[in-house]
Amino acid sequence: MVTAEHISMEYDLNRGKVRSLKERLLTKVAAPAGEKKFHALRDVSFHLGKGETLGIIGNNGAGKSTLLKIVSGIMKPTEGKIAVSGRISPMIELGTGFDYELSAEENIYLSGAVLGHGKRLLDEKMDEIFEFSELEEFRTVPVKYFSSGMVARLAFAVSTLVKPELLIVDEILAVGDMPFQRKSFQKMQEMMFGGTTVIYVSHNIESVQQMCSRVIWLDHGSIRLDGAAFDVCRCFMESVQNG
Amino acid sequence: MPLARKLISLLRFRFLLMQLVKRDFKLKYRGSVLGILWSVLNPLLNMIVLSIVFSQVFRAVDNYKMYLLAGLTVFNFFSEATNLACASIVGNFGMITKVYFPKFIIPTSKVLTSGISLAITTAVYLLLGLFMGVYPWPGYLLIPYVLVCVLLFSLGMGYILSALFVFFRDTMHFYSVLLTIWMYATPILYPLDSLPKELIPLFRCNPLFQFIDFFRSVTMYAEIPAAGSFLVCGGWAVCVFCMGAFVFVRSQDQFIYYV
Repeated sequence: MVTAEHISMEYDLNRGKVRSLKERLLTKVAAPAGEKKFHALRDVSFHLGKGETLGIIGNNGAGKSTLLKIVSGIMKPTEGKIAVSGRISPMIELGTGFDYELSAEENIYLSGAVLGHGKRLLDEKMDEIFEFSELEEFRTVPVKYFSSGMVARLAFAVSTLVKPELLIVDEILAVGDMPFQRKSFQKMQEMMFGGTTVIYVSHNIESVQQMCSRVIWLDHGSIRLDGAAFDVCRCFMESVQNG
Repeated sequence: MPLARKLISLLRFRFLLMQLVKRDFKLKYRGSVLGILWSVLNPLLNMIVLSIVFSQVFRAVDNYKMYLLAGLTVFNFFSEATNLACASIVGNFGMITKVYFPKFIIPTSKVLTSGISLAITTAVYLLLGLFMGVYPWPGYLLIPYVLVCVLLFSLGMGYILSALFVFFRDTMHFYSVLLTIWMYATPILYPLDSLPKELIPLFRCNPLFQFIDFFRSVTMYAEIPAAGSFLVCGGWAVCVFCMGAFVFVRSQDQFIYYV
């Protein structure tokens, strides 16, 4: 499903920092505007087979999100190759493509289209989405009048519409009030255990250990350990406790 | 093979393109009392104001109101489409960084949204013509040709501008000045032959004038344009479109670091 070969990702920290004309003229000595490199990922290689559930753990800034973005095709790595087959569904953030001026129904079409779904599928699933999110009576209300919990419910229902071939999850998203949190958690589990290939990033080591068969521990952009979930999580916990 | 895959992805995302166009068009007039009627009123009022101001100056032009409206129809579309496209990539940053989809869909959707207005304005122009001495004839079949040319040309410009705007935020300010210059450098308000003889070849190099001239020929003057005009219009459209697509595709992987 996913084959990553020697992936490296470099960010130039000075890139995107535009120096205005005023700044340029007033700075007497031309500050060395050279490149300030930051390695988000260094030589990462792994292979993920069909049906595997891979967890990725690591401290903040270890490169987890960057890796997810590369796998989803949002970014291209500076070096190395990545090959992904099958339909990807990234759940990096909920409600991608929502336009708050539009009604709930219109947003389902829009957001669904952004996620790559077709009209027929959305037509079919429309009632199911409203039933799951419990928003039937707000079908034609512009989303800007929704409470944040209602938006989250709608977004969750759209994002989990289809069981993809490769599911990319950045933290399990349990949204809304308590009953809905339970419901959404269940739905996520259903999706992750349904034989789909999953890449799951989380800081909740317990849930990673529970849900994944294999875990990669990222440390400052490199793979520190790659192996069975239990072993890797134990080593990670030990290293955290020992400072 | 890569090309075939690109085309398949295009088909897959056709629905997304449609949704984006729909959204933009809906939101354009949402909340206004007159709604979509503004698509009709805007060019009309614009034309009336300008024709009151300038009809005294350019008495020599026959049917000045229609002459003006023909030029404005094309130019206003171009101006609106490229302006919207220019800001589109930066404005949809949230989408680009969260999901993968072909990025060119965003500026394309903006130009197509304006394209709907262009179709409406053209219809208004032709309807108005019935009362102003511009009557339908078989040559009207050529109108779609020139409109498609303008659309392709605007798409190409839109791709270039939207990519440029990601890297240089001065693009927007610069472009608005350029558009003003372009508007006055195009014979929209004044006839081409009011210019000094030596300058006319120069003004003919302006692709927008070529489109407008073609449009006026087939509607106002009931003339089939010379074969050269077909070639020039089509050539500009295809060249700028390809150039825009090339620039956009070459730079799109960098967008994510700059927006």
